[in-house]
Amino acid sequence: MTMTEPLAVRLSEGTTTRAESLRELLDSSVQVLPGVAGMLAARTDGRALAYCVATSDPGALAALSAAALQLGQRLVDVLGVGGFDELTVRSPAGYVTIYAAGPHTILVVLSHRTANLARVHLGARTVATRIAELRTSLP
Amino acid sequence: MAAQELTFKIVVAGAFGVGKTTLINHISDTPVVGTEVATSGDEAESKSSTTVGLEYGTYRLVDDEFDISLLLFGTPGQERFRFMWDIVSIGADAALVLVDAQNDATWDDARAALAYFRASATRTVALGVNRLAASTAIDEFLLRFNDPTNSVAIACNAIDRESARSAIVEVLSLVLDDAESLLQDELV
Repeated sequence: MTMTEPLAVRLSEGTTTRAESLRELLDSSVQVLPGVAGMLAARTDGRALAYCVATSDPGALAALSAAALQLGQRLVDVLGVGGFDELTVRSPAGYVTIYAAGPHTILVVLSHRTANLARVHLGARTVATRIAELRTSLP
Repeated sequence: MAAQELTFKIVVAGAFGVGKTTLINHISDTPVVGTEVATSGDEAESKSSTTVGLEYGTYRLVDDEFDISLLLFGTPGQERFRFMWDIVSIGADAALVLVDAQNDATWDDARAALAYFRASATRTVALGVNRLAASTAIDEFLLRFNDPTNSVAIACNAIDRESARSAIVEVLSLVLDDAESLLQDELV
């Protein structure tokens, strides 16, 4: 495999700072939001950016969530009922909710079964807005 | 010095039953997350299960200099899931369109997928030729296949792990070549 130096440098530019800031934001949000067990931020193309979740495969969570968000958006498009707020899946263990965080990022929130989902939404939307700001302010 | 970490997203597309799921399962070094369900009707006659959403697997290549993760995304083959192509192809670095060399019923779909990805933002598009008979040269197949997009063709036997993995490494080198020439264009 051959690769020139400029390519390698270009591809990694800025990603470390961004991942660290995102990770810090997710860590602190999981700690303060009641009922929230974990969070993951990913690009809309399904690549994980940062996470604090108890799963062995955050990459798969990112890929599936990004696809699910797109499907959710298309569902409301087909129904002609306007924009997309979030997508929630409930399981015996709790909830997985997927939010758009600006045009290029998604936020996945895992919460406990006992969580108050309305409060989770409230907190998560603030986090999603912060993520969107971070993603545009950093290189 | 730590190895440079790079991640590339590669979409695997092609007709129903052409071997996309098989290919990803044979390449991935993490458990593949899929959306396979039992087939029904006509489709059940050719195989027992099919992808209705997407498949996700990974393949990691590490040397002293680079730590490369390939994210492999499979799409459903049927026309009714065409919208999944739009979803799965977001941000893709490459598309590998599979064709079954021994089943010309899959060829039209492969040509359509090649045209689709060529027209998309996906920079690197390659044709993966599955089940190429040992007696057939790939050029011989290409003459019959007649690809209007003239994409690079790679022999790729989906049920053979070595063949599948070397095909995906070839796709990676195409991605790196394309990225490099793009950078050079920008520098000029």
